Amino acid sequence: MRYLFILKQSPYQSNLAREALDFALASAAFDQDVSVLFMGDGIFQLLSNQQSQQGKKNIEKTLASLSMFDIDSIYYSHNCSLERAANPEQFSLNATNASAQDIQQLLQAADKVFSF
Amino acid sequence: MKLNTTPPQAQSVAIMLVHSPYTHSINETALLYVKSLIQQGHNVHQLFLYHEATQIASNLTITAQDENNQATQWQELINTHNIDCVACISSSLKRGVIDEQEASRYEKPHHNLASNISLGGLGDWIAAVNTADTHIVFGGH
Repeated sequence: MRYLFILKQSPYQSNLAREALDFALASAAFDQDVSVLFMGDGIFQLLSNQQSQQGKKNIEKTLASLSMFDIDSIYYSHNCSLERAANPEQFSLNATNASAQDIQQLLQAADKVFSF
Repeated sequence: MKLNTTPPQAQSVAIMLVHSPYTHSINETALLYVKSLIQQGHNVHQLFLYHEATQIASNLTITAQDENNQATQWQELINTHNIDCVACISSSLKRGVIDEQEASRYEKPHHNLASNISLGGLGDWIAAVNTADTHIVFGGH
């Protein structure tokens, strides 16, 4: 099945950003065809050089494992990145810029959508 | 308004809860939704408790008399309708919701997982999503 994950949680406000990512990774491990779309404050997960406190797992490191699970379809909302003045050059992984129209197509192409 | 009680086709729905019962009203909405779903002849394919929602699986919650105990309400619904309810094992253990087996494995003095709820993994949820007609995540937004 084609799964689309829409990740909107800021990286450290709660544990939900991490648990949503865990779900995406588990889905790939269970042979689902996974795409990931970062929107809203989820954009902040993409920033590189995150210095998480000791005892708290670093989201950036988890994101790096997406490719190990063959998750290569990674997108971010163009509008959401502009709103947050987030510079894609500072993103820790190679994500594709998605316009509102692209996002519409991603939603249509997915069998199952999960938004966190 | 009278609701149509004979749906054209019964649907099986996989449902995930994400938030804790008392910090977010979404679970109350979900409870009403599930009751109405069953009333209209549909079927809960699986109820998966993830993240903070695993607190619903504890049989040790106590609320004031004039306040709804959401954990009890969900557990009653699960028992009455024989709903397949799975609580994510890693989310549960982190929040102190454990069954007898885990209590013995981690040498904890007690266990508190409500009957008719099992500890499981995301694989259970993924299998449920793929076989159900549709799925809803309450608290995803």
